[in-house]
Order: sequence, then structure tokens, then C-alpha cells
Amino acid sequence: MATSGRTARPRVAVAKFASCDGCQLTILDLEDQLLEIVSRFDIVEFPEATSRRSPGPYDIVFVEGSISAPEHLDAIKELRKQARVLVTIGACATAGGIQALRNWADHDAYRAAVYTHPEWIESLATATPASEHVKVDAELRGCPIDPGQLLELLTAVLVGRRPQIRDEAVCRECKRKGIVCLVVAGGQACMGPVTTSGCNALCPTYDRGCFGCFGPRAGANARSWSNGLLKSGRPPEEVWRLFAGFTGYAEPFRTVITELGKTKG
Amino acid sequence: MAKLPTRRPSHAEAGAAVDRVESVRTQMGEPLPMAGIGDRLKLQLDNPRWAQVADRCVECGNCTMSCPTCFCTSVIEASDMDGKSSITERQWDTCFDVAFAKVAGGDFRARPRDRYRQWLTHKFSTWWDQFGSSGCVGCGRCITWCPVQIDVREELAAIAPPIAPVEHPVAVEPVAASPGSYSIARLASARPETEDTTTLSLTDLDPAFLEGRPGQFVMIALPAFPAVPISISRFRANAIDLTIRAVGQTSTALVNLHPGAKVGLRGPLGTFWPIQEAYGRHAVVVAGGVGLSPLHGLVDALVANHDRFESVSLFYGSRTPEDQLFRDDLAAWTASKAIDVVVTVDRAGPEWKGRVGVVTNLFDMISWDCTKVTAFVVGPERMMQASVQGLISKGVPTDRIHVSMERHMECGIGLCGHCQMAGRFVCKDGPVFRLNDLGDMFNREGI
Repeated sequence: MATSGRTARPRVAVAKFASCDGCQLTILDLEDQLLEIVSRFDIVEFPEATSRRSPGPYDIVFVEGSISAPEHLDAIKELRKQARVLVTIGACATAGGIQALRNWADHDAYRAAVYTHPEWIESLATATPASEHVKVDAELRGCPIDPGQLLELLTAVLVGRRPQIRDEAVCRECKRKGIVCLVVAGGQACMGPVTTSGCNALCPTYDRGCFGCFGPRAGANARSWSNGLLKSGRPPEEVWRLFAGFTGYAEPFRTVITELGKTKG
Repeated sequence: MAKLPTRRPSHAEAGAAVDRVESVRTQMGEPLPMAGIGDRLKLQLDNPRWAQVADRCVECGNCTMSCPTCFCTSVIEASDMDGKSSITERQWDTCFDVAFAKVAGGDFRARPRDRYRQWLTHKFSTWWDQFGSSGCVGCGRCITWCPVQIDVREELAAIAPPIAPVEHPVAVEPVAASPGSYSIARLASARPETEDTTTLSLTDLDPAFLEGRPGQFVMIALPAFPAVPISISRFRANAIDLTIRAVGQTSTALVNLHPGAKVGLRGPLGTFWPIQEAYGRHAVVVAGGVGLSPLHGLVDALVANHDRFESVSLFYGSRTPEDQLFRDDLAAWTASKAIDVVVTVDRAGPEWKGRVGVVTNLFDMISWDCTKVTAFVVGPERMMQASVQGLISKGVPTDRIHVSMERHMECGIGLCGHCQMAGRFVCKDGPVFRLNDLGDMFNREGI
């Protein structure tokens, strides 16, 4: 395709599966940097921004959404073939997202409860992350993703190094921001200790415990944290819901949820 | 302070202050028996309780982030999209992070129990070695803010119960206060050594670098890339050589630079090889793989001053003949007759006519009185352990063996805390250590 005379701008595609488009909107929300981004990247495919379509191959493909419908199974494999680098963005693409709640439920019963004509709906019994189907080169976590992490990833691609994206507990961000611990001082349920950072402690900043939307951090001791929440007097159903919210299908949350489901009976 | 209006406290106020301290003391309850806690903990590094407490610990870092004495930070190079310039930022970090002690070749504290032990022994034991005091001020924040109710008093009582008190006659220099600033150097030449290792010659240097000593290292950075520690492999008239294996992002970018490129340098940093300690003795250099790089400058010095030593030898092992560094220098050293150079490889094709086998096999060639040997050892940690074991079994005294250690470093000047190894900053107390100063930390997993 024609470019503005520049050479070797990486060809970028943004693709979507089952998702709310919030992560794509995060890209569009980078208003102050958009001109800088498009001067360095040739964004050729981006359904949230334009109906213009461009075939592969692409240098970078950003994938939003979970693999949730039968046609997704082939589409994600085809995208992988067209992508030099495949980056999943958001809780749906990296962990299955909130749709993955159905992975522990009766899919047919859900469908019948929601749709008047369930027979018209073709969906898979599970919602899964892209990484269950194809090799993924990098992930940006969160619901939605963090604009700062996205910019850092784009910068790293241009500079030719690994992105400096930390994998640490949300608790670190609370401490750096001077937010008093909602668990210890406020008695709230919070996924911060086992959830990876990147949101700049968004929910705790507004006095809400972390929902875990960035998913488990490296080495997350999910079992000890669920034991701790149970010991503080919370019923297993509540702890189940806390872990299952946004990224429950990602290990080690998945194991904890499955075990809690058994105690729930 | 002088401008503040002050007056002497009344008797009642002075009395109230004493009462307040006493009331805090009472509230704190039975204080932890602190006498000899540092030594008590050092005897308990293999206690099974470390694994039990690590099972409970969620590694959120609340304890370290609320601790008034914890000082660890991470160093980030924040850049714009051009990557032409960047800002070095320090951010509070914690040793409970999974990647805190990770280097390109692996993770020194891979298990949660290693990280918990690092934190608790640092506060209550190795802090004495570093700073001459306890790392705990008794504030109780780590207990208050632990979301899974781990109480360090309980853990210490269970892991290291009181024994007869031991005095701590420790005086250590305070931690370096200078943040260190970069000076710019120019890449004069890049010379490939092996498939993945390249020697960079840097010139237009701050004169301080030319006055560095063999064994020291520099922190080297490119804009937008995290700085990495690299040993100085050679001192030249107006240049230093850095021999770099492309294993990570910065090292790969460095070896791909073209002559003329500018790099940022801080240093020279760390301890150096105590060459005088080998005067009048048999100087033995043992190198494995890229470990020859921090030893190169030492070998140059030994060769230049060879008449000061009873003998000088280099035992060098690498995986294959292709992995050998400094092949021209090895030949030149051999030709000089000032040093016995013996090389071996782990495996080789039929064209290789030299020795095959691990470097420790070469020790069988040593015919001298090994009590008169001073040894300098660098290589992968397992190779160093085997070499040190071999040298000791030949009779080399442990205070005559010097090693250079590798750890994850971000600042290089004793501020960020990443390189700590049982009470020592590898960046400023090392990287060169006398073996018996390391004690049994040298062979221990997860330190």
C-alpha cells in the first residue's frame, strides 16, 4: 500500500475476537501520541478505527478478545501465519476474559437463559486466550490495557529492545502512591497481592479492592491468598467470585477457582 | 532549627516523655531475644521453616515497602519513541520480586524460600556485616501490614531460638552516597571473539577509567537501554576493552554498535585482583568460558611482572575450541614464555589436537607445593565451585583463592540492592572476593 514516502515503517494490524473493544479504544485514546505513532508505524488494519481492510503479512499484530466462536479457531491461526510478531492485548486475549466464566458453567443453559433463539447462536463451550491456540510473542494485560505500557511496547519495538514492563504485585503501586492498604486497614477483599501491576493501582486509588484484571503475576501464591481471604471470614462463594472475575482462567487462579468450586459444592 | 522558638521542657513534660517511651515498650510486649541473632540465623540457613513460611508468604512486598530501612530500587531507562535519549529513573523495588536476582544465565534466588530467607536474614543478620547495626528498628510495620499475618518475631523465634550471645565487633564503611554519573566514551573498534562474544575498544575516556585495575567493571548504557555491568578485559594506553557476550537486550545492542558510536560509562567500579598477594608465590589463573574476560587484565599484569612470581600459569577451559576467547592473546602469552598457558575444551571435532576434558583435570599437572599457590578463579558458578574444590584438595589455602562473582546489578554503586549476596554488595564489596571471606555462601543455593 502507498505510504507517505517513508520506508520501513512496520506494518501494524489490530484484530479483534470476542471483546468489548475497550483495548482498541485505549489505542485511539492516545490522542497526544497518535500522530507520532502513525508517523512511525503503518497501521493498515484496525476495525475500531477504520473499515478499510488490508491483507497480511504484518510486522506486528495486536490481538484483542478471546477465542469464543468456532470461526475464531481458524482465524487466529491464519493471523499467526500473517504476523511476524503477535501481541495479545487485554484480559480477554491474554486470559479468556470475563467470558471465560462460562468455562465453569453449563454453556447450553447460559445460552438458553440469555437468548430467545439460542439455536441461532454459534459459540464454543469455552472462551480461551489466544495462547491456547497459537504462539504469542508478547502480552499487554489489563481490562483495558494501560496506555503507558502500550507506548513502552511500541517504543521498545522501535528501539529494538525488550519492553521494560514490570511483573510485580499491585501492592507495590499502592505503596509508591501512598495508598493505605485496603486489605489490612480497610478490611476489603483485594486481588492486589497476586495480581500483576501496570494499572498504577487504579481501583485502590478510588478505595476499591483490586479486581485482578491484569491477571496473575509471575510466581503468584494464589493458594495462600485464597486461604488468607477464607481465614478472614469470607465465604468460599465470595472468594470464588473474586478470583474468577476477569482473569480467572489464567493459572494459578484457575486451579484455586476449581478447588473452591468443589468446596462450594 | 536555630530560628525555632524553644524552651526547656517542664519536669512534667520530661516525665511524660519518659512515660510515653515506657508505655510503647510495654505495648510491644515480650521483646524478641536479639542477642546474637545475626549469628543464630547464619546457622539456620537450611532450616525447613524457610519453606513453610514461604508457602504462606504471598510476596506482595508490603513488608519491604513499609520497612523504614529497606532501600532496594530498580533502575529504569525511560525513553521517548526516538530512543535517542533517555532518563535514568530509580523506583522503589523489593527483593521479593521474582526477577530481582535474575541474570541472563539464570536466577540466583529462584524459589520463594530463597527470597524470604534473603529478606529476613538481611534485616536481622547480614545487616550487621554491612552496616554494623540491626536492619530492624522494631517499628512493627512489616507485621502490621502483612496481609497473611506473618509475624517476623514468630519466624525468628522458630528459626533461630536464643543461644549464648555473641559480640559483634563489626565496623563497616557506610554505603556510597554518590549517585554516580555517566561519562561518554567512543567506540574505537569492535572485534568478534566468538559467535556470540565481541570485544569493544572504548576511547575518548574519562581518565578515571584508564586508572582502573584488573578485575574492576563498568556500568555501560545506551540511551533507552538498561545499563549492564561489564568487566574491563584489557587496559590500553588510551582505551579500555570490554568483552561482551550477547545474551540480553543491552548486550546485543552493544555488540552491534559501529565504530564511532557513543556509549555511557560509569566506573571503574568494584574490587580488583590483589596481585601483590601473589608476589613470591605460584600465581595460578583458572578461567572458564567468558570468565577469561575479567582475568585478561590480570594475566597481562602477571606476564609483565613475571619475575616477581615463583611461577605464573593459566588454566583455561571452554566448551568447544570455537568458544575460546582471546585466541591471539593466548598465543602471544604462550610465546612470551612468561606464563604457562594450558587450554582444554569440553568437546571438539577431530581437527582439535589439544586437550579435552574439564578444566579441573588440568590441576593434576600441578607439581609445585600448593601451599605456595595464590589462585584467581572466574567462570560459571558450577565451574568455579569445582575448581575451588580441586584447588583446596591440592592444598591451596582458602585465603589464597580469589574469585569474581556475578549477580544481577542495576546501579553498580551499592544503592539498588539487587546484587546483594548474604551481606555483601557484589558491586562494591566485590566482584572480586577472597574465598574465605565468602565462607559457606560460595557453595550455597539460593543466595
